[in-house]
Amino acid sequence: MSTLHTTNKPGQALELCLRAVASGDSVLLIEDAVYELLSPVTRLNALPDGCSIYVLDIDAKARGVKVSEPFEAINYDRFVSLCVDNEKVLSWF
Amino acid sequence: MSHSVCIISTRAPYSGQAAREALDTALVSASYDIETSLLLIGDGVYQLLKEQDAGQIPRKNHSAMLQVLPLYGIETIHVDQVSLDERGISPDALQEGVTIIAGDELPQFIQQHSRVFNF
Amino acid sequence: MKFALAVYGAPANSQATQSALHFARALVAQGHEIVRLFFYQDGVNTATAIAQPPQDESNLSEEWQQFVQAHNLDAVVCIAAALRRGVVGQAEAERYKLPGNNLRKGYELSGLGQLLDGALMADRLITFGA
Repeated sequence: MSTLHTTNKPGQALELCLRAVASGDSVLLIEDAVYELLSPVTRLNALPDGCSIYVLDIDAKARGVKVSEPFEAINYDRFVSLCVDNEKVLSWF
Repeated sequence: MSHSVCIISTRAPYSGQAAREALDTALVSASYDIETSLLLIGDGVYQLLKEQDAGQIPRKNHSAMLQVLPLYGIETIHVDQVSLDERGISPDALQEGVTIIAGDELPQFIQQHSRVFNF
Repeated sequence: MKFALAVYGAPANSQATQSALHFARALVAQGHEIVRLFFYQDGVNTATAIAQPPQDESNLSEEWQQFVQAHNLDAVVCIAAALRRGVVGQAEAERYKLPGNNLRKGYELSGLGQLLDGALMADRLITFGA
């Protein structure tokens, strides 16, 4: 019963996304949400146990944002696989 | 398999059409006899403020449109407690017929539905 | 697996149409089935035939149409949202006495019920918001 949450911008979209995450869920940052990696006060590190955070590689590269541990850069093929592996996909925007 | 639907509405009522178009989705879902919840969260909680006089802009009154929900079998509107607190809105300021979801109940509330539509 | 995709952003005011197209191409490449595409909110602008971006920029409306036609997809544009935003077919133009029509071939204008149907038919609904 896990969910993939995608979010496409920092601010309200990301905030609501993080509040809806349960243990074992995954989060994928796309589009402008990748800028959250630059924030010194990000709450991405305070997720429940067993949650993984992914970043869409082309959106980060396009914006000049570097992805480093513990976050994982993925392509669209992995995005699709995550949608298959999780039972639901919620999109926060 | 019987479905249940959660419509999540995150936008204030009058800046664009997003709140209206989320509500329309809830009405269509309920008119299919699917068990449907409308969850207002983030700026979506502004949709519930009493005494909206949208004729001033002019726009259709969103609050009045929300009041048709019971006719479609949606008896209560779910609203996120944390979003209310962050915006300084007390439950007295909201129209009738709402159910407040506490912050720690949010993930489970959403998850109990088989289909979720974000707006 | 069966997927339904919902697109809520327009080519000129969000990345939603571009992201959705990347995703849809990856789905098809992996052999998944797209049971419905639903364009709603500002996403209806994807289906206009008369937007002309500069020559050195990608034309997402054209790319989407080619993708829809190449894979014979069920591509629905919400009729209420489209009428509100000036995307109309010939029938709507005649009915409302509008000076022209601009719906690209390959798309069908229909009701919001098609979004619900698509989501219930599919194993997964993926939304690309603005």
